[in-house]
Amino acid sequence: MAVGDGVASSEALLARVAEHDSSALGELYTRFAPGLLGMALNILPDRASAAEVVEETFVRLWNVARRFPRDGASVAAWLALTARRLAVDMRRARQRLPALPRTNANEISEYAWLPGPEEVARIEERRELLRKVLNQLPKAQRMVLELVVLEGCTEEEIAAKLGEPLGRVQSGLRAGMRFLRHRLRAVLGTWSANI
Amino acid sequence: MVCQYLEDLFELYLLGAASPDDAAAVESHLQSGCAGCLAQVHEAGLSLYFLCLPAKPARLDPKLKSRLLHHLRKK
Ligand SMILES: [Zn+2]
Repeated sequence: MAVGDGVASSEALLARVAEHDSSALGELYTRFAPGLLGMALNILPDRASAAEVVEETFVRLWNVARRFPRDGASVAAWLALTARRLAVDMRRARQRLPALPRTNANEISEYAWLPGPEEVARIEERRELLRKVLNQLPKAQRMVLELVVLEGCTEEEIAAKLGEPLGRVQSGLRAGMRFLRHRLRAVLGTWSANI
Repeated sequence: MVCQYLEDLFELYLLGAASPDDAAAVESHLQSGCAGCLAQVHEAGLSLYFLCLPAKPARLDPKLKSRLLHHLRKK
């Protein structure tokens, strides 16, 4: 989200949320909740569940605000990825599938791998161009990416679903992710993000 | 060699979609502190943010916001 002059950055609002300022959380909600609901609706069929995911995402933000690193992760990215995970968990629970594993490498603490605010701003500025990148992916690759991102399927589940060998599914997914990463680098003009 | 194999796995690992063997390989390698791969994980995070971007925003019932804020003020 582009933030102009006189508009508090999401990270500044989060600093106020950390002090239990609920009006700051309200501002973040106004800014991001509609987008998060749009995403949750891509994952969950019914509005009530999708709205529940959005609400839970903001309750979690309220609870983690104090631990959130001041000069690291983007609030927009945290919200998007947390809401995606909650929606996928709910979808999988309904299908009686086991929960997806959590990442637990020490070096990858909860926030270390999230993009920073400047990187997210660069993505937002080039959103339209980046959409075209997705359309450049071969249809089959885009479909398996969607199964992973939006349906929360694992590689093994996709292989079973499509009746394809696991190896082929894995190499298709990896090629898709590699393509995307390389195009993002090209579009954003960075080779390695600053960490 | 290991780094090359893992390079294309980070997004799937972060999404929880990688096979258990691959996920274990990613974790043990990252725990060794490979700076190059940690930088790649960060880039993978950027790809994921992009992939999760909503197609279009949806309208929320305004009552949901007041209910949420009311609930949090009581906590
Ligand atoms: Zn490495």
